[in-house]
Amino acid sequence: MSVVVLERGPWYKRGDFTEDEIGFKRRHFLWPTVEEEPRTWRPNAQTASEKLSPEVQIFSNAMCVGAGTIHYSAISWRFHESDFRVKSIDGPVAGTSIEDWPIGYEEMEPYYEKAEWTIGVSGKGWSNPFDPPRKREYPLPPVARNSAGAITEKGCRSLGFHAFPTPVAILSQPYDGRPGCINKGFCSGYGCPVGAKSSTLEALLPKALATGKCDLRPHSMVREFPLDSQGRVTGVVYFDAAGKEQFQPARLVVLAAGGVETPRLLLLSQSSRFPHGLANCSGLVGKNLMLHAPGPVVYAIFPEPLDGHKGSASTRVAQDFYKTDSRRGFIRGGFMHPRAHGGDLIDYALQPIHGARWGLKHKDSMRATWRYYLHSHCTGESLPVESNTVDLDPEVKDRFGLSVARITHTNHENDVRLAVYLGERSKDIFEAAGATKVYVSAPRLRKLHNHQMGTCRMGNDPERSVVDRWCRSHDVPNLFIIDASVFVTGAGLNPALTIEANAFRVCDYIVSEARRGNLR
Amino acid sequence: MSSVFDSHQRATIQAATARIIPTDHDPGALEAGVIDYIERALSGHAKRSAQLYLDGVVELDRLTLEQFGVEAFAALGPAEQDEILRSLEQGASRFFAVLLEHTMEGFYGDPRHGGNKNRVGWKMIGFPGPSFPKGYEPPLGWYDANELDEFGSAKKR
Repeated sequence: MSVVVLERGPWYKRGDFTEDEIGFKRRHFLWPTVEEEPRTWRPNAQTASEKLSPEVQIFSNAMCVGAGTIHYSAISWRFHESDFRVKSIDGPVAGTSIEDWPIGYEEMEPYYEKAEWTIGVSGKGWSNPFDPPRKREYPLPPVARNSAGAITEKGCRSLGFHAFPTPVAILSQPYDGRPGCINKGFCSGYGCPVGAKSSTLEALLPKALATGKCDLRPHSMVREFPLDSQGRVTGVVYFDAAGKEQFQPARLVVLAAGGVETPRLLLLSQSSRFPHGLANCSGLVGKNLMLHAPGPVVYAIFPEPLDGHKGSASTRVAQDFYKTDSRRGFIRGGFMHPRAHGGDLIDYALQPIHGARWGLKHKDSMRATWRYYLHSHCTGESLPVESNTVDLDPEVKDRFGLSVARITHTNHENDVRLAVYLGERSKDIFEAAGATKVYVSAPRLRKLHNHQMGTCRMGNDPERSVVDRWCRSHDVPNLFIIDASVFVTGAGLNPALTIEANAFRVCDYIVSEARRGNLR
Repeated sequence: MSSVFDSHQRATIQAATARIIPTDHDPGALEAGVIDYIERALSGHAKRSAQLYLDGVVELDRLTLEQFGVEAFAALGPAEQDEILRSLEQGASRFFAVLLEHTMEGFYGDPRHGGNKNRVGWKMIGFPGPSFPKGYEPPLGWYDANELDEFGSAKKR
């Protein structure tokens, strides 16, 4: 089987990844620009949409080979058994479209292990009392603990919570021909020039290319999937690097453009057989968008220097707020990840934590506290709501003249209560660890997010799902989807390892079906 | 390449940046060359904001005349300049918001973009600059060096 990989963005190399906050975080080097690749957002269908600003656009995934795995914090979770069964355990909930997944943790377990060992994840097995069952240790011991991690451990311990080493796709020592992390900071939001962050660019692509059966084409923007008379895709129409239209024939197409761009592509491929978009007989393509709870950002200042410009981002976390406890006033949960800021100087200067936004007081605060602060994010589950959608903007087009994605999204109230709760518990932990000042932002309104899930959900019923349990379209037998569009519920966890484990699972199925001659 | 600002505009914006990050016993926006960062940004990446700045200069001078009977913002003393900037800020001036962001970028950002000359911004807060390819050996900060680590240090497998 040979594979052509089409990536609409550039193919960066290690040498492109510099420690430049302006380049990466203020000028969005990795991200699509709002001029060339705009998106629009509205809170609900009754409100006019607005174009997303650059600051929100960056709160999405990079447009390049490796995408989100280039710049992510690399936190690598196994979903819990309960994460696949939210309807059975916690649902239904009014105003949501909660369903169980058609697969469970048991089926995913060997693929989580495969993903951890293939890409290189560092962690300490069985240190998280809330983890699902695992058979094998992580391939690498935990990365070096930073001061944010030590503070998390200290605060959690004094409050009776259970901090443990964050499992991360960052090599703590040499592995698989790549060097270990050198703790240089500029980690989350940046590419890794060392090669220690286990992005798909570093950890998977070279292996694929080495087979001689993989052809990766960057700057290739897919526009449409033509069909034959039996309703099977015949290949892919795309704009090449020179902007010229090309056709790549294919026996099989696998979509992995993410929870926003995958449904967009399907909706752009309208035909007489699929007037509402390819593979959309259910009408659910683009629906049930989940962006995780609107977690606040928390800044905390401590009496001794953390020197957060050193180290990888997240080194200690706790899942004590994960399982549903309805006494809290919401279902489901999440976690907080205090981090080394990694070199976010300008970001810190612009936060409302200094007592002034400019002038001498602001300068004093920067001088006195920059080595003494950490910031922390709160990741919590968002419940699927059918009216949270991705569809085609009726007016705005990208540089190819294609309708852009319009996001319609407002978090369910459960998400907001959960987010506020995580912010409050973060404050508790930091104060218990001796913080002299803690600032908890308001829940961050989600117009977009790095975690984009649910828009082509898995299910056994073709009328209530887009793909089956093998992530194969119910309507188009040679079309598969392997990004987080297929997630039925979003868990309160970073999705990357689950996306990768699921991709390995689906690939095994594709290979066995091909061998049986079932993929004609 | 002609510059974005004439000499009056440059002096005005430079004066504003010098109030946003004043000089005290440490260098401020003036010494860091924030004005050069801004001019370079406005002819490149941020060229869409150039007109905002030119209008902003006009607005600063207009408010100065209105409040102090003086023709140019750049001629005011620092306390008066602060007052003008505060009234812009309280009026939710888009120009002021962008100026503030650019000033922070020009002071705390990488010198390759034209500001933070001689790394004065970094030196002030204690950032030693990019460390690649060397990186750092643990311990990294006070807390990981001194607080109990339940999980021990990483051992090679």
